[in-house]
Amino acid sequence: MNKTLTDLKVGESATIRGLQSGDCQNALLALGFLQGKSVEVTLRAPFRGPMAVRIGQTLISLRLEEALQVLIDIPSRK
Amino acid sequence: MKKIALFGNPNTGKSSLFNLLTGLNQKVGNFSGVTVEVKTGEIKGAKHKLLAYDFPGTYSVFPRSSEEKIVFDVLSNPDNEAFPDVFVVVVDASNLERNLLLFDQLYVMNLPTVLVLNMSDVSARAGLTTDVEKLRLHYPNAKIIESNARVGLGKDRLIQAVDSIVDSNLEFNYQFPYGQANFSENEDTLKRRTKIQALVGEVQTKNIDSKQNYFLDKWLAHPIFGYFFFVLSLFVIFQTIFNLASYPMDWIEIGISSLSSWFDANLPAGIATDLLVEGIIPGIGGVLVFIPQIALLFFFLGILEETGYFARVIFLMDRLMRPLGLNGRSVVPLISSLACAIPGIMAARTISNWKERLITIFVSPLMSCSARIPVYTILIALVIPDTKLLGFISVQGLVLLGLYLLGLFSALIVAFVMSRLINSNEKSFLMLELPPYRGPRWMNVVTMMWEKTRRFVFDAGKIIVALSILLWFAASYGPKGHVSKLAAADFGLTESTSNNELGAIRLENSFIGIMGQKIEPVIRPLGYDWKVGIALITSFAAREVFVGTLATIYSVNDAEENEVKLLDRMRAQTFSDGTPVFTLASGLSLMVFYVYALQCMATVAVVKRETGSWKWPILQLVVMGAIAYLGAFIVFNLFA
Repeated sequence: MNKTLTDLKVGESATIRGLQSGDCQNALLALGFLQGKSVEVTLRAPFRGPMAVRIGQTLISLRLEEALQVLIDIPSRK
Repeated sequence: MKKIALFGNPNTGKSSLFNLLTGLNQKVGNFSGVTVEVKTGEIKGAKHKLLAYDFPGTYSVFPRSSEEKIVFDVLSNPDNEAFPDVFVVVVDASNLERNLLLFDQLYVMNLPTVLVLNMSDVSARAGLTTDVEKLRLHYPNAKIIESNARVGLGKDRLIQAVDSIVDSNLEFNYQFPYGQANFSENEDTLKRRTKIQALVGEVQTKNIDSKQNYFLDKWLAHPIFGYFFFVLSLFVIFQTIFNLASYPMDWIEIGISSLSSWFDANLPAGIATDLLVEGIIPGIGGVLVFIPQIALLFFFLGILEETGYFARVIFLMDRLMRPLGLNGRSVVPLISSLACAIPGIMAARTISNWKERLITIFVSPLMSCSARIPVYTILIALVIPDTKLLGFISVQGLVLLGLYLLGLFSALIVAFVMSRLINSNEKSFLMLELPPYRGPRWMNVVTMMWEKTRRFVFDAGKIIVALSILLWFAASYGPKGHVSKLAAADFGLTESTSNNELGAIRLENSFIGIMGQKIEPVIRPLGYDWKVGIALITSFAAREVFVGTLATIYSVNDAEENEVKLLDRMRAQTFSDGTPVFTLASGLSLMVFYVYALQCMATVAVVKRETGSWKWPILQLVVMGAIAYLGAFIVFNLFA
């Protein structure tokens, strides 16, 4: 199953598996969305608005269609 | 003069460092054909003459917005007038891994480069130690220094480093690998990213595990309370601005009018004195009087930006703005336009998508700016009864609020219509860093306030003053020559005609009076006579000129001192059939006209510059004019 950042709820974390090719691939790379990095969703705006994710020290807000390009592995829950 | 370019990611303190290096002695650089803000300023305290350029914050050399494109354009062309002699790359030492990408990309261009590890305090608090010596081994050709621009540390070290580079006078072998055919941006970025990841692991160690705190965001960016806080903060800011600004505005008005009277009394009578007293000084006064409101608004906006709150507003508003063809980033230009559309339109530069930026520019002048307030105030006082609803809600206040809301909702509707009409395949991005909340750096707040206010004074100011002089000419001269030289007898009147009446008759026979009479058939359906027509024409200098023009037409010597007198004169105005000119219907019709009409030549000029063609400002002038005319016509007929 190809999970993306948009599948996470506020407070949940995951590991980046890679980026799907698309318009903002290079920008996402520049912002530090790299394979193996862990991300945590900290905010979601209402009405399917943007989400904010923490990656390393930085909080970055992405629209859902931008977040869809980020593939993730969700650690199995205990 | 050597050119020193500052590059860096957003939120690295790059602009703080620039402000520290140059002080308030900054200019906005002019690049031919580019509407991007690059500030320049001479570096103080350096051995050589050094001119610093503050380039827009960018995460990589590959551009996403027109703002970021300037970096690519300058770097790819060594013949560019702004091509730097020395690169200074400012990085946030607490976020080295992300920040080093841009530096790594610039480093291989093989030009003299200084790497500034900024925000050493934040980095230390995050428990990070950076081994600068090890970092130097990886980038042997760069000078690496540490700084903390927030508290003013590192400035001297940077100046020293740059001076010594200039001293050494080495030859460099410029390379620019990024623009070539079959160059893959993604491959290159990924390669650098992997390298940097390993490098940072080697030079930086983390001693303590810092846990970030999102308490403030839980409330300020909350799905419900977030919007509440936003509206509340705007309310508080505008209340404060209107209350505080009224004092200096009064002083400026009194000062200008006493200056005018002093010159009038002490200079020899003549055309030059008239030009000074009736054209130039009131024109300058008309510019100065808005400075308090505009400066205060940008002071508060500067604080909101500095604390990191604006990024949250963009985050919250993005979803609401998008169906209207706008972007979360459109919020800042729209709010700025509540003071003056000119800095507002320029703030739209941060919007990367052309269509969204264009729509933002197009609708910004519909937001009620400060220049409309005097017009609204006098018209409301004239036709709206000073009564209270339910004993405490002022009807006059409600009408004023209604005019603001009318402007706001019209802006949103026009934006929606435009978004349907303009086709564009360009992708729209948000991708925005939400910086940590922190106290404002006052130096930056003051610099921003200074910069935006100065821009209003010069961009709008010169047009307002020029048009004031032109209007003075049109009001002083007529086909028969200088109208004030004409005596009562020239108009077939007796000598007993009072000076005030004579003044009004002279105006009637001036160029502008004739123009007013010519357009009367056009504006008669809106409920106006030719005298109001004159005021509509003069308003193109700036909307508030409406009030001063009416005072001249109705022969009230000083509009500010004699508002009551002006109101009385306006009430007494009648058409030739004896019906009053200013009724509820014509008053409301005028208010609606001023909500919509683009009566501001300075805005037209700025829109032309920002969009790069006459097409958009002319379309804007026509569309807003048509809405104004139709709206005023409907309102007049509804209430007549």
